[in-house]
This record gives sequence, C-alpha cells and structure tokens, in this order.
Amino acid sequence: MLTPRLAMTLNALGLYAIAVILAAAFAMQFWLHELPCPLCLLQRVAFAALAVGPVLNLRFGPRPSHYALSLLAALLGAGIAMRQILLHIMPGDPGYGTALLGLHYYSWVFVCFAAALLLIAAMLLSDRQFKEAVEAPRLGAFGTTAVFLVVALTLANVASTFVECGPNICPDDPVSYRLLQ
Amino acid sequence: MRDLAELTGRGMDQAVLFLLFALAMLAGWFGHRGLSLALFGLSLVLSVADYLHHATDALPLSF
Repeated sequence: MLTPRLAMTLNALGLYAIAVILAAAFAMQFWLHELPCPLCLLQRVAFAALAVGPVLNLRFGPRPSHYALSLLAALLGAGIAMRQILLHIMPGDPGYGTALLGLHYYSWVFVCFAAALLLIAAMLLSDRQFKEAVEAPRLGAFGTTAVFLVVALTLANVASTFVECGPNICPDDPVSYRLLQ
Repeated sequence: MRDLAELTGRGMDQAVLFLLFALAMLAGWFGHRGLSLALFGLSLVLSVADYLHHATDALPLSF
C-alpha cells in the first residue's frame, strides 16, 4: 500500500523519467542532426502534458484527478505515436529518423506511453495515498529538482521549436532550422 | 473546426503548446491549482486540434 510520501516519491521518479525522454529527444535532434517532424513534436508535447499530473501531486499531495490528467496525456501521446507507426508500417518503408535498438523514436514513444498507462493504473490501485491527508507536502530537493528539470526541458522545447519553425507551421519533413537560414 | 495554426495566426502551433503546458506546470507549482487545471484542459484540446491539422496523410492500410 502506498503512503502519500511514497506516492510522491514515485511521482518525482516519473518526472525524472520524462526528463530523460525529453533529453533523449534533444540528443537525437542535435547529435544526429535529425529535425523533429510535427508529429514528433506533438509526441514531445504529450510528454510535457504527462508531467502536469505529477507536478500537481508533488505540490498538493496525491489526488485521483491529478492521475486522470496523466491518463489523458498518455492516451493522447500513445495515439499520436500509433498514427506515426502506422504511417511507416509498410514493408520497405525506412521510417522517420534513426532507429535506436531497432525501434524508431515514435515506436519507443508508444512503448513509453503504454508503460505510463499501466504504471498510472497501478498507482491508482492504492487508496491509502488518498485517505491520508497531506496538508502541506514537504517536497525536498529531490522533488523540486524533478519539477524544474521538466519545466526547463519544456521551455527549451519552446525555444527549439521556434528556431526550427519560426513564426510558421512546421513543415511535414523539415530539413533545416528556419531561423538559422 | 478552427485549428491551432489558425488560432495562433501563422503558426507557432507546437511552440505555443509547449509554452501552455509549461505554464500549467508552473501555475500548479506556485499554488494555483485551478489555473493549472484550466491551462491543462485548454492545452489538451488545442493539442488534439493541432494533431488533426497535421494528421492529413492517408494511412497505408487496407482491410
């Protein structure tokens, strides 16, 4: 059974996992020089959305409504990733971008969101975290760092997307940063 | 249905979405739970609209 304290620790770990995924996307973008397509960017957006629930859980204590936000975000992200998988489903299609460990980024994204759905459902199985009121959650450096890491990476995506697309709609198959041309 | 690209003028659709979700996180962090939930709801609806704007290619599937 999860205590509120343990649930908040797990939520902080979830935020670190989201930060790692967003950082991996940046690594592929800058080290492999692969510009994210609109659907790729929307998958990153879904990861930012996934982080809102854990942030609220850390700030106000665990609540079912906060987990519901994460479930909605995970469904959105899994749906977008599934569409991109289906776009490249035909035999011989090279896919978009470089495959990592045999899977493209969008395939890994689908796996991550499917795992998130399972983990959030598992978290919701424990009622004890909701019965024990947390009046003023003590966050500590572990939780605070997790929150600001994800916020910083999300804001970095604002800048990166603006440099890539400028004040326009991102092209379906981007080849250069519009603001650096 | 007007999509996010139209609503934001010429574009910047995904940059706006990242910014809105970041604001939702920051609003929650600084104690404004209601504002955070409202921003999340708005951002989620706009994300779906933006997805529908970009999901125009026919899927190579046959049943």
